Amino acid sequence: MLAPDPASSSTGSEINTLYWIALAIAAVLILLINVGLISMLVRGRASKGSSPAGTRARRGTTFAVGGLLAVLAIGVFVVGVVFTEKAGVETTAASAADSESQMDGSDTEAMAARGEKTLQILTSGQQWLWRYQYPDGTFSYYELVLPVGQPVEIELESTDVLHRWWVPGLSQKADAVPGKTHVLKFTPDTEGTFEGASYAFSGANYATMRTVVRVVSEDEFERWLDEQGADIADAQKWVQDEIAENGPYGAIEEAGGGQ
Amino acid sequence: MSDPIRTHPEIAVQGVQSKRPGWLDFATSSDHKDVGRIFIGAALGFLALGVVEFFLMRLQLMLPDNTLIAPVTFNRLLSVFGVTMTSLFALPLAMGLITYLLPLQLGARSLAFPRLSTVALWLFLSGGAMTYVSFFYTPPEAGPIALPPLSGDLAFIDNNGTDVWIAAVGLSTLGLVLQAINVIVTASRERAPGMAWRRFPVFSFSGVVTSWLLLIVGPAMIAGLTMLIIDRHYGGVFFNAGESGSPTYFEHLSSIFTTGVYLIVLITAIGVISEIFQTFAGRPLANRRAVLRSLVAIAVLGTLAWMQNMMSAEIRPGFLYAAMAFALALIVPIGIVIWNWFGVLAGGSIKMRAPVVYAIGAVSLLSIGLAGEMMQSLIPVNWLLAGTTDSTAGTGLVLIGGSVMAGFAALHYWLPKMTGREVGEGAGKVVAAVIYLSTIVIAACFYLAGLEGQPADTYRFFEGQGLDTYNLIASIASIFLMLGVLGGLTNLTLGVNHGRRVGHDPWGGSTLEWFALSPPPPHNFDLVPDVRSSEPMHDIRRGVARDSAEAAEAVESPEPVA
Ligand SMILES: [Cu+2]
Repeated sequence: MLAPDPASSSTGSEINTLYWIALAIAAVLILLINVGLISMLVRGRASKGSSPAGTRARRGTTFAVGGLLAVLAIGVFVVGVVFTEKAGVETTAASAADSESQMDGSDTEAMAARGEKTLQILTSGQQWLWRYQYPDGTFSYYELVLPVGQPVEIELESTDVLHRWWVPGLSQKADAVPGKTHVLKFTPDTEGTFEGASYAFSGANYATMRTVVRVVSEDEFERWLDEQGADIADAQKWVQDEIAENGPYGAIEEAGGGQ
Repeated sequence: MSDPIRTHPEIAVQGVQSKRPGWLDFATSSDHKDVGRIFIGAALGFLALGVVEFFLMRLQLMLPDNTLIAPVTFNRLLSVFGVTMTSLFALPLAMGLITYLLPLQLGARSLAFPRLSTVALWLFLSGGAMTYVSFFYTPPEAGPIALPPLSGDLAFIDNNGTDVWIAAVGLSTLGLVLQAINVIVTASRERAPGMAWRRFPVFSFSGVVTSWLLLIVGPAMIAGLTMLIIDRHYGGVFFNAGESGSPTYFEHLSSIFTTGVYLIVLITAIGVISEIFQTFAGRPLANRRAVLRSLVAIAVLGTLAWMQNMMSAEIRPGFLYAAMAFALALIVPIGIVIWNWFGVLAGGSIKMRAPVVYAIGAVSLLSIGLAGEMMQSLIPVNWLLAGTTDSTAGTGLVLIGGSVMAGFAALHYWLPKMTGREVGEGAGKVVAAVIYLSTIVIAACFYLAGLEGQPADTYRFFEGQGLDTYNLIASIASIFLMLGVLGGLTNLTLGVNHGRRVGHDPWGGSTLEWFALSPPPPHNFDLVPDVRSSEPMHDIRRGVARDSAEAAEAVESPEPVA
């Protein structure tokens, strides 16, 4: 119940691991404060009456407590930095792995064979849907299809207002800001369908700005990409034909639109 | 100014009548007590509106795919709710308490700039009036924080609702900034002789810290809002992407402000809780100086951590790490404050009066909210939780703990000073329990729904996402939260008008406001005492006891006539 969505990429799994660590620390702190509060109340009510001498004696402990808390804060910070590096900078890590493997010169070829090429997806948020464009120019709305095991670079853009792209378990949250391209990287490692949404208030129908990521095998991805490409070509051809036949507005009128 | 008879007895003799009606005198008064009372009263009124709006939004989110409230109406409720809870409730309540109490606690006869405080009050009230009058034409609908481009370009929302939002937040912030200047000058120039900074009551000190904070974060927001207005109506490009502006600039400015609001709520609550624990345990903080310094540290570190609200924006990692470091560094000062509270509670035999019950509830809610905030300051966890209902839960816990619970604690504690009457204890304790429990339930549901990926601020969630139960329970709990808050407000009102009379010094507090009459006369003190310690009221009581003992001795054993 307290678990986040299961991780389906290495980014996701680092995020989830740190989440559990953070939750444990938070739970301990909450428990310490609340149990401490109650036990001090009970102790105070039992002790009956104040002792100014005790007040003086306690003064020195502030530094000890402060020091202890500082150690805790620094520890949490270090853990946070370590996990951020592990979760966020995957391509850097991959290139580091490349150079390492070049050094021992063994599995460079294996990696190349697996097609360790980054798949770049131009992702643009618009009120209130997501548009995904693949390297070959094929595009899709709402549903993003990715091959399993291949590094992905989501190039986030917005055509209108601020949106925030996130698919739980798969990636980090990232803002889509008009006029900027925000690149985020991850490698999906589990096949399946993952639901995501826009997580920044973006106007009237913000709630419906959802998305689905389908992670499939390499072959299926290629097949889907071809099909999608063919469908788009068909649709465009249909429109072209209609225009040729009935003039620029004929197709729209025939489809029942155009009022 | 409110009561000329008491200031000028000759008027009573000569029978000169004020030509203006009493309410007009009250509304235009520059007495810090009148201004403070109107600030507090208006803030509580907006709190009542806020919980009703919250309940209405929960009604829409009770069931999946609900169509009870139209999306636009929901977004309007959401936007007005956002302004209400921060700019019209949390900040003015804190400022009202400070305005009323700071001169009394410091032994001052008035604020440094009495007329300025009237201007500040009316700027805030006009912001509030503008927000609610807009329901009759176009309420804002661009979200709790109207970020550009959505708010910057009429192409996206082509009505003046966003202008209402800008004006309301701007006017209220401007008023509060002016009052902050007033508070700072009063604290440095008007305090009683001997009232050194190290002897400041914790609440007054927290008031000075929050005022400085407002002086920094308020103008940042006002500047952002001004640029936004120019962008909207006068062809500005401050926040236009591609024209050498960027929407991210506004996000920075508004983040600085919202972070400041969060910290002001927290610091004011610490001030209130410290006073209440000390009074009812009959025992001072073990290390006052550490607590006062911690308040400054919280203000400075917390403000520097503003970018932890923006961790999904494209900001270079160095800045994000800095934000994370500042946010985590808050563990130290907050921990020191809590440790000192433990010391006070453990050593004294505390009386479980209503203010104490509220204060304990506040500490508990704050502890959970702050622990959640600690989690979210870790960048990867922020990617997981920010923007979901989990972050709503964290903010809500701190707002309800720090403003509602600690605010009610403060009012139960200080209303006897303001009115001479006590607020109902039994009802107060019941209300505290209801608010506490319903808040915990709502926060837990929001947290779990957020983990399932429910975005914050949406007007609708969908069936089959595993969110139905959480939302249903949260909606039911919101009924209790609303009833609790409204009940608490009713109890306060009853106390003000019909409460039992309790005299000038009902709790035996250690600070100077208990030296004044209840309610205090316009000039506060007939005699401004010399302050010799951080507990001037105890010194005064001891002095009185000694004097009367001496007098009694003098009567019992008259000097032998030699
Ligand atoms: Cu969006």
